[in-house]
Amino acid sequence: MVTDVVIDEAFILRAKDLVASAESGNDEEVKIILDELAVMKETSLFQELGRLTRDVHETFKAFRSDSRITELADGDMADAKERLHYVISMTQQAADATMTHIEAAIPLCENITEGTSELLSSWEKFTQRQMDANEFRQLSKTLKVFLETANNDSMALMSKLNEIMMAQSYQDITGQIIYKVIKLVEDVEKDLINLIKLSSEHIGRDVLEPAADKDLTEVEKNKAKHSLDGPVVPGLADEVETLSGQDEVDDLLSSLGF
Amino acid sequence: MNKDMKILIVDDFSTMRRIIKNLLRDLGFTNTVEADDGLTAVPILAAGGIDFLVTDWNMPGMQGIDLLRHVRADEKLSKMPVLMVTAEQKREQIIEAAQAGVNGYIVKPFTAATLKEKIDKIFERIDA
Repeated sequence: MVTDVVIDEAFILRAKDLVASAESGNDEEVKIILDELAVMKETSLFQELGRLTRDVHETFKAFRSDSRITELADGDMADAKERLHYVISMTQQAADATMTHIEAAIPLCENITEGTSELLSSWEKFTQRQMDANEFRQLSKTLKVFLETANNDSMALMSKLNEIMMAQSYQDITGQIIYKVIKLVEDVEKDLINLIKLSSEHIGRDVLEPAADKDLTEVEKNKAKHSLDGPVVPGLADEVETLSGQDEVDDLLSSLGF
Repeated sequence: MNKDMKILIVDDFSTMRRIIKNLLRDLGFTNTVEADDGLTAVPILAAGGIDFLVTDWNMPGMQGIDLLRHVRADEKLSKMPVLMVTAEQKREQIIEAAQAGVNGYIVKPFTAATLKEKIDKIFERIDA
């Protein structure tokens, strides 16, 4: 600390001279010694400041030259961003598809409801024997038309419901992608903590030795290589070596005798 | 193909399990059970009565590929048809699954038609 450095033997010696000069009433001498003491104090302060500045500078240099920082920024972060963008577009597509099918399904339900309420009131009239033969013939025609349309409508409705169900598969795919991003963020966090540890150790030390951590990232890289890739995200490097869909998978399997 | 056969659906995402279950019901298969990863699937398989296994690959605990190997290594289960439904679509992974003895491989996202086609194909071969 600054005060420890300031009060050294030379300082104490001059301070004693100062007291002696003051007691003997030597104004000139007191002035000179006071100036000297001030210079001594400033010099040590400047030295400490200089050392701190150098440390800060060295730390920044170490940060800049550490390739992992650039790797994080260029590689992992860009990768995570790409994945999250893909999640947004997938959820958007799923929501759009769901809304489209619902909008197509609503008129089908309306048709069925309208037809049944019309038939119900006619049927009521019939059971209360308030219907003449002509009206009954009309009712049976209406009924036939309704049954045919209702049959078609409910089949169409079923297919819309199936489409809505299939659209929900985005949850699985995006879930897997988000898990991957969480893992990525955890890795980045670990790397940053390592860096902070390294740079705080560096203050007061001369050389930065990232060798041990380099080995660690190598191990982690290998581990990552063996982990599963999950859903393909367009625009990411892992798209290479990946088959582009069910048809290519089928081709590969049939070449293997499937 | 026996429509009453008991099918085990294994996937860690419940939405996907429900989708597969509903698609199977549409195809006439109503006898289904579910498990959320390989580890929970193993005791269900061991208890017996399962005729067909539909499994995801990437799951916590025990992965689908290991579940497939487990099935093939177990004398009582080894003949069971296994259909993999997964987002993994790397060439080497598909080869790995084929070598482990998978009967069909569907990549997500898939359609109802694909599921039907693959199931038909699997049982055509078995019944032939």
